[in-house]
Amino acid sequence: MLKILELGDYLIPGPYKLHSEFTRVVNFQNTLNDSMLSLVTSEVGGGPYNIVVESLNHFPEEMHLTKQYLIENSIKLSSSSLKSFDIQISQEKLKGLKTLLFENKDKSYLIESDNKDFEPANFEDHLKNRLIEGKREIFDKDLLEGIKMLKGLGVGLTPSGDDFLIGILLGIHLKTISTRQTDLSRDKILKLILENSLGKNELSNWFLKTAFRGLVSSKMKIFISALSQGSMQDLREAFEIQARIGHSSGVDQLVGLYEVIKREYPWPTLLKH
Amino acid sequence: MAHFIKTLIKSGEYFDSITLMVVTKKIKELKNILDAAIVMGTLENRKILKASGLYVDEFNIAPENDLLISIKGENQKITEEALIKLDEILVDVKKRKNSSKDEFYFSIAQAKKELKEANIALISVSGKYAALEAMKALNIGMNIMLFSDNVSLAEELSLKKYAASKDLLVMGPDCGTCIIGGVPLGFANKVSSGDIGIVGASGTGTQEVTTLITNFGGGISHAIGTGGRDVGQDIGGITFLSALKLLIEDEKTKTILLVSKPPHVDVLAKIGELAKKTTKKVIACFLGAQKSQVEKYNMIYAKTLEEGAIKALEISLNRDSIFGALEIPAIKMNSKQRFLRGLFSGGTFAFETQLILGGESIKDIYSNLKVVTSTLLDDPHQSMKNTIIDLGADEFTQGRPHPMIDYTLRNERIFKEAKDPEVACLYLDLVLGFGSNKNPINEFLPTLQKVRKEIKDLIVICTVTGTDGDSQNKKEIVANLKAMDVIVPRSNAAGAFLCANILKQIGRGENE
Repeated sequence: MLKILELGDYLIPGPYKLHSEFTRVVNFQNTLNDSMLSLVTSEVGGGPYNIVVESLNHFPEEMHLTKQYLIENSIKLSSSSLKSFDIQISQEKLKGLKTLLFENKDKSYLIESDNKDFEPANFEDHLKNRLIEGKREIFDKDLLEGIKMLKGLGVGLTPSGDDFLIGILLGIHLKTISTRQTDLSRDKILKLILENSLGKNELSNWFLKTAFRGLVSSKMKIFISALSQGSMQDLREAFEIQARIGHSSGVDQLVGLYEVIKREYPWPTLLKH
Repeated sequence: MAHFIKTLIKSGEYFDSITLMVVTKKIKELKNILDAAIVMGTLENRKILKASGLYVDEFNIAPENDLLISIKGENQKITEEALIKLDEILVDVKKRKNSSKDEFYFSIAQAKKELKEANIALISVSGKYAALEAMKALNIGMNIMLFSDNVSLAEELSLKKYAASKDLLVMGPDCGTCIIGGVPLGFANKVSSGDIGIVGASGTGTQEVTTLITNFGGGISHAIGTGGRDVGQDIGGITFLSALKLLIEDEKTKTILLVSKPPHVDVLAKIGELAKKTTKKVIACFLGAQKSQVEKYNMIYAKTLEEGAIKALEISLNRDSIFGALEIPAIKMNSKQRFLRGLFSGGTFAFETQLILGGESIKDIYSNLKVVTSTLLDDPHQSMKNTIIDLGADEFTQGRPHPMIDYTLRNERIFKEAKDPEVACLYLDLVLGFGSNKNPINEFLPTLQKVRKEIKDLIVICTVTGTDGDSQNKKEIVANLKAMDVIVPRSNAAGAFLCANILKQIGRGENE
């Protein structure tokens, strides 16, 4: 019997089957639609579609999540929506984030080093080059071509390219909330980015859709709080927590987020759409 | 530069990025490997594979969610070997649910480079490669625990001589149990730390004494395994003697317990001479040896493993033993029930049981183990009269896991023996701890429940070798066994004496 500690606030009722299994996360896929949920340990923490459990030693391969269960159980609910946030990002914090990213440039290929024009010698070099080219393409040349270059690019179940695109989607939410911009085309832009980012990787797709809706994990929420209201020390600590997600996933997302919030919105390549 | 590319496609398998990055990094560090990639087969990843010369046409048919693995090396053999090793690691990771905390190494040298303070390598590869790997490890200054079997006597001798020349130990081959500085290696139990040091040429023998010592309040400094052949004439006790020297010199070790079948007379003499020189008490449990053979070297004689543990405890804790005798249960049998069937996963338990039965004048003992007190069975799958079977012997383990891990074969045999109308008593062992089956409650106990349900008048005795610290939950297992009217002796020797007494009481196995 799973002991549930926290329920995601956007969980979708329905029948689920096992998708993929890791030490601290077990992903399930809804058999009626493309939605997913994740059983996670408290080390991973809450999220819109997470169920935080005491232990993952035993879990079912199939489960049926009912509305009634979600309504009746007085288990702690996650709080995942960015809409409820009052976000202000100072230039000082932005500089702080930039410093943190550069201090951690070995954790993400998307952080550009000084040695920009090197001759790629192996797979890793080619991958790094392509990620940087894709990032530049998105902001400087052609949004959709850049997304095409990045989607599904990288190692693991949520490749760096997809994580970066997730960061961009979250960054647009943050940027528009923090600058109180009334941008009627924002949802259209988000939709355009999402539709062009989706591939055949169900899990990546689901994370992209989650970011599209402006929903974030507890860890990302802590980071955004620190970026908005915390001290520089809070920001550093929240960054370090986020940086421990996956091999580079956490930092890749922050690079995407940083690239959006440091710019004027909408940036030139967005205006073409 | 000429190069070779070897590839693999894995369908429907997901790995976390940390695992994939770490494994890729380790492969690329290997000598003569030029490049490697493990990525999902998305269109963008394929482009990068092509740009870096790692793409092959076989990848064309793989769907986007498949994992594409490609290794480029300077020669075919090394590239192939790297791919095989990588696949083995991914299979292993999958079994352990993508535990990204684990470190992966493709060679002992690679591991040593990163774990600079490591000084023991546990080698558990197929026997034909084991000596080569052990030699590589010795060359970089590592002591060896050689879990592998099927290493030739000549290879063992050569490894041990070389190790001795470098003041290193080769524990094995076929060494099942070691506990070094509290760290269990192979089949071992969660034991208490203490001042009793053990040299053991028998794996389950070492488990028996270390768990008994722990269960009765003592503790272990080190338990050094040697492999069963070490004390024979050919090897000459090279490791046994080195291990004994180490324990004599070890400040933490105050009492030394030796566990083995009787060493060759020349080896025994060397052990005895060493024991004579130390002020530490040395207890020798050389199963089957005569008391006089041991005592002439000032060592303390122990007839059984239990006695060895008790004597070590008495010295270590400075107190008398409190063990009482096991009561013989009330026996209600029909006139046909006359014989004992002992089915063991621990070879030393089967060996010791036969010695004890023989010593208690029980006749008609048959076994698949060669022991002076019994007759070798023609067919180890067919019991005769009083039969003692070591199910860990080669004839039962070829192509299948050891019976401490996989109970299937023994469960079948238990039920078969229980149904034999001539059987009065079943004697079994259950060995807990690291390396053993993790779930005996669900995989072993139901067989005994079935036996109990279908065959009423049968004495079932089962030892449980382990401590309360073992993950299998010894207390619950013992409680379940007792609830099924299974007798749980404190040790194998206690169980064997009980069997002998039962056979005598039935009056059919007794030497009249």
